[in-house]
Amino acid sequence: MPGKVKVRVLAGRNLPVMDRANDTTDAFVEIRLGTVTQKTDVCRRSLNPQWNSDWFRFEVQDDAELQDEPLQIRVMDHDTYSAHDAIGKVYLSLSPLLAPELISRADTAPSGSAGGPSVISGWIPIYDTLHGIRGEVNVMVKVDLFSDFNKFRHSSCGVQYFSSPCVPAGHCVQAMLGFVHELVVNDDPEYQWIDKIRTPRASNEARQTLFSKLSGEVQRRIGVNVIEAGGNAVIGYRQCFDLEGETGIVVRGIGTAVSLVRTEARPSSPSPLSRQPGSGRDRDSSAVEGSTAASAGLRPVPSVQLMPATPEQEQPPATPPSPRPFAAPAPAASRGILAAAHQFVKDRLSFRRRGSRRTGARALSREAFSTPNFQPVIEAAASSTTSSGADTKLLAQLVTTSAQQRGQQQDNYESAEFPFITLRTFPSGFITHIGGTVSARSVKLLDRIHHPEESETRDAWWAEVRTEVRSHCKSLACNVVLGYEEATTIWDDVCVLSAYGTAATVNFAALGLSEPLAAARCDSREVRSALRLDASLTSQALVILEEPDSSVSNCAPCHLPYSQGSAPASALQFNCAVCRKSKVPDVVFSTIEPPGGLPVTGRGCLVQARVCREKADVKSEVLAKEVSDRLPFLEYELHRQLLTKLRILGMNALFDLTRRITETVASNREAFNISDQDESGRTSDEESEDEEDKPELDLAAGNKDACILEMDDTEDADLLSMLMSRPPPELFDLVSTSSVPGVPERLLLDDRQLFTRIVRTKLSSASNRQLAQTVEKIIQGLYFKLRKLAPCALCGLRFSVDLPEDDEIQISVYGAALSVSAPLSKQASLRSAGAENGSADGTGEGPGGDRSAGRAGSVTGALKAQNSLWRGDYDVIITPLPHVTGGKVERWLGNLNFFFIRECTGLREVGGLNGFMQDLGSPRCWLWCAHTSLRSEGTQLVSYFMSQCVLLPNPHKNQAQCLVNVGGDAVLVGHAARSDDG
Amino acid sequence: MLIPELDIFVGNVFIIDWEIFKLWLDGHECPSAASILQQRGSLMAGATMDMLHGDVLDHYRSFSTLERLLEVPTLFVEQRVLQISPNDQTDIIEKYYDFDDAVMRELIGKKPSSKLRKELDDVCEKTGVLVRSCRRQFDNVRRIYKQVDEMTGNVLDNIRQQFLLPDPLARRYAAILFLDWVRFETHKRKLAHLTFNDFFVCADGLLRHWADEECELDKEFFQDLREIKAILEREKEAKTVTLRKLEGGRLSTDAAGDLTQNFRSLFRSLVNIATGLYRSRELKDLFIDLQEKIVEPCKCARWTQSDMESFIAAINFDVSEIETFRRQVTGAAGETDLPILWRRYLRAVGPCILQLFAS
Repeated sequence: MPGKVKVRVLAGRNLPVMDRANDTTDAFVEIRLGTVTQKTDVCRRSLNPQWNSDWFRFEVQDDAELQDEPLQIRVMDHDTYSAHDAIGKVYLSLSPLLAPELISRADTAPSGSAGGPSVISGWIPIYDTLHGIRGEVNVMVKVDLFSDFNKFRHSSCGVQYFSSPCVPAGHCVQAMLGFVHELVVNDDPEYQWIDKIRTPRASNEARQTLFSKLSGEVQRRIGVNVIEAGGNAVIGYRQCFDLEGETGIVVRGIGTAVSLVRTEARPSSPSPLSRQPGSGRDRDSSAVEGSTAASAGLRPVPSVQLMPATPEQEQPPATPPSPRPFAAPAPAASRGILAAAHQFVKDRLSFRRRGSRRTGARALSREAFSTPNFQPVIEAAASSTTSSGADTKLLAQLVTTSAQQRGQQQDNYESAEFPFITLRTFPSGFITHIGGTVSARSVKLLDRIHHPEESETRDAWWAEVRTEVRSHCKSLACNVVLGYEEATTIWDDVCVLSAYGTAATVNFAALGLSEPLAAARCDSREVRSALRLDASLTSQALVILEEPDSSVSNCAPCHLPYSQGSAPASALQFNCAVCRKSKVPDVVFSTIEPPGGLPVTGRGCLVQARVCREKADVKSEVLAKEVSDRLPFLEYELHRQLLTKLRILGMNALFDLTRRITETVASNREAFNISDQDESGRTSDEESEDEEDKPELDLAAGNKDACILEMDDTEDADLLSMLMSRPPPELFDLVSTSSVPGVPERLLLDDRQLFTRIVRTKLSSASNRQLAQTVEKIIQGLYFKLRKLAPCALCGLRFSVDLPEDDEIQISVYGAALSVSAPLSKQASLRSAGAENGSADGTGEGPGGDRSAGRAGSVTGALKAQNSLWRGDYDVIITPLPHVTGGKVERWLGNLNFFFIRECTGLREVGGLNGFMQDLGSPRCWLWCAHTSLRSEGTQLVSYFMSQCVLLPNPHKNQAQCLVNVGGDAVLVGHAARSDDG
Repeated sequence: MLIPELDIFVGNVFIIDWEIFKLWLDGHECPSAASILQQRGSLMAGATMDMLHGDVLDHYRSFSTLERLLEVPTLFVEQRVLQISPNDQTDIIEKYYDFDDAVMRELIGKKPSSKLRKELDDVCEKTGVLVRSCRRQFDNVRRIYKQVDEMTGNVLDNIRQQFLLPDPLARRYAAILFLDWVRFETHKRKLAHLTFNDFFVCADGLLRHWADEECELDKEFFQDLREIKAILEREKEAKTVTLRKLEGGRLSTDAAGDLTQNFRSLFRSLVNIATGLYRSRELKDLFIDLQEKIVEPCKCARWTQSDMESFIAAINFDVSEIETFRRQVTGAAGETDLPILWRRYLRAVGPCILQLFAS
């Protein structure tokens, strides 16, 4: 779509003094889009210039350009004789303006902002890589897109991105379309020949511009895939920058394509630009129809039709332009079948899920897809819960011949190639069984990318890794991988790619349950009853596990998806404590949040395993080999540590495990949380926290050539010391999940703080012990730093470990501190043996205070009063959690993703490395703030992430440089709802 | 244990630790602040001195960022480098611009020059306040002085608006500026026992009654005050009027006796001070004159505070109660209004005398 971008520069404020002679600045602004540059007049001698320019117009042929190219607003100081000096720059991504807000338009329209073309306007901080923030500039940007039907399919405008690894609040997934991924490679300006003659500042700017552009490109390409698959949004979107050094930059994006609808908005009223499959426009050629059919078949049957109770959904056939022409007949059938609820029927229905439990039937669904007369099969089984991922990447563009239709089917077959889902939080009932954590790693030697346009090598590498993950998943008899993540670690020219996730079997029908909560309530019965048979749930779960909230508890997710006989010999299995029928493993590891409705005993806590190994002093190929030889050992070690720690704590499940191998030799970290359901239920309360979160890191580092031969006993001693990590102080809870397992949501009151801690220190020896000490110290430090906020829960913790130098280690951690109402602290004090002389709020209340959340009422009230002081005091709250504690997300404003580079040429003057980084820490936040609030007063940033923080100090030259990648979802939050429930 | 090369902790919102902030304002270096905190028992179980030290360092770093911003409080409240709640912002500004009376006592009446800044070591020695804190207080005064000096309009409002200070504090600064502008003599030995607050009360009174909103003293009024000399000729009548007002045991015996004897000298001093005010030298010496000629003699005669209060009230008579003036006033309408002059004079000077007497 061609489009027109209009920009007005109104004014600037608080500009720095550029002209020492008279203490002023002669500022003007250059606006650049792609290759076109326009300028304002010079506003002489003012630090608060008023330009009030006319509209600058940029005409753009293709919206792709708008998505790739950020609008660059560069503020300059005019010099008559010498070259103009740059004051700083603003990069404005235009993609939010391109989004037709198909999801959120309905409710924005009344607010007035979305009336005409979308507008960005407001004060934006001017950023300079050398000086940080230098004043602000007030601009207005408008984008007008002209719809162009011919090029329709190429455009990916309108796809929304969410970094949140869950279904965004207020939305409902209509169809889960599969895993999408894209990667783009380019030369790194830092390593181009020109870098030898230009200033670091110039190359930093070039890099930053490039990063911004690449990131736009990746997003756009993913968008194309999503639209071709018939979706309108990507959730669980992750973007990573791999700085490969000499060989260039790789920008990768992965996510889960879905078609989302707002729960209020009827699916039948697509906004003009929405690409809902089956909407009139899509149907104009038979080819398109074919694809719609295919994707409709592939798509899980929307919850809508499985849940007859919701009024609007009760008559699906009545929905006028049915978005799914082919799926439409299915609901009736499925309802009938469901009603029958016979085990047998159920079997057939969910042939994939159940089939896979019975060995032999595993391949059924795949066969179904590959059958030549694919269509009928799909139709017949349309209501089944299949689906998995369409690897839309390989979807060729559609053409109108039937030959291609077959190709299309083939593609669809292919598309099931990676049944990955990048979400980590799922509605209860969605996961039928968790198989276990699966991961794959691959060590590669980086070669120079000769043609930046070609990314095949990297694509192929990832394809390999993904295939491996998939096959692991299959061997666990699971059909999808949840909580899927990818990461790279680069050391010189050796690169370790890792991918991990949780293998599970899922029930797509349950997806719809998540959103309309009320609906879920009434409807869940039916679906559940089927589920119960299937998973042999019993109502006893309620009693045993005291989950007052959920009317139906669900122990199924922990049941083994495979039969006992086929399990590896050593695995221990028990009968499920809840239903006493199915087998459960003694420990569950997973990379996702604990599924809703899972009975939990005890309380979650963080479990970390850390492993550190020396690597030989070798280079490239030899190193690569060594690393790959050792990886399995590292993993084994990590696993063993985790397991042991868990046992000590008496828990049995790990959730939210993340693992990463950093490379110099690899540091792995994993965070998990688990919920247990059988045994740990019985462990004594004092020491049992059953969910754990754990980052485990292992890193083997070092340049010494000696490899340490470990004898068993020393190793054990070492291990023992590491296992004895101190429990958190009484007023704190520490987890890597987004809520504290075992603590009712209602006790978590408010977002208090997002904290980031970065520590870089010498690592004298690559011993596990030293690493453990370092990390332990950081954690203890967190408690101390946040002591004034206690009682609080530290949630969503993310650790990352880097070995920037052979003998240096950099550990960063960020998370959210949530205030917690008193009962929690009471219990906590009990837990810490009561001897810990008195927490502020007397311990006398008796045990089990946190169990009966009802009792908490009064205390909560008091604390609420105290907390109300906090609310609304700050412009922007940032949280790494996908939801707003104590608030309700009212509108999703868009996804943010920035890559900052900052350098400093007077390190000593700013207070050394600490001063530099602290300074950087805050402006980073404030850039955020400005950008976030720009988008019509977003009040909060959720799912904040800091995916990269590379610090390159050069104390001898008194310089330092830092690269940071941060992002998240901007949302508008309402707190009103909370004040009544408390 | 190795000291990490880098160890920072950054929060999205800046939650200020008032205790550490206070230590910082008091000019403590990081290590000393940490050890003070340690003595106060800020270490939780399990926390080490390292952590405390690191925590203090983190805060100190943020504070020095704050300090740059605090130079222009109007920008400070707009800044987004650190996210601070509006309440905290106000408190931070107030606390940052607050000062120790003892230090300020040393600074008033002097031009805040860089020469004075160099002498802060002495101030530090004298007051026991750490040099860093003295510098901050000095710099604050200098900043306000410079900025407000260049502006026209209501001084109090200017201070309030430019520095976003709460009213009481702004009032104190206005008094400080006033004392500095006029260069009142405040450091003679005879005045050495006076505190900042004494001068504040005096200056505030003078400002209210003798100055306009720009803190400019009413020069015309001082010129007119010279007319008051005329009262001296009617001293006897004035004495009668005053003493009549003090009848009925309003004075202690000491004071009553003293007053009958020395009314003349007290009355003359008061009038002479008034008539001399148009000369800027005498104006500068106002406090010392009041101290020497009124407060000290009375103190010697063992007046009590309430004696002085009664006296001030009584002497503030209506000049028209004296025959001669009544005629004068009614006779020559365009002439200066003696009664009004006298009242206006005493309304400011009276409280000053009381304040000086009290200390």
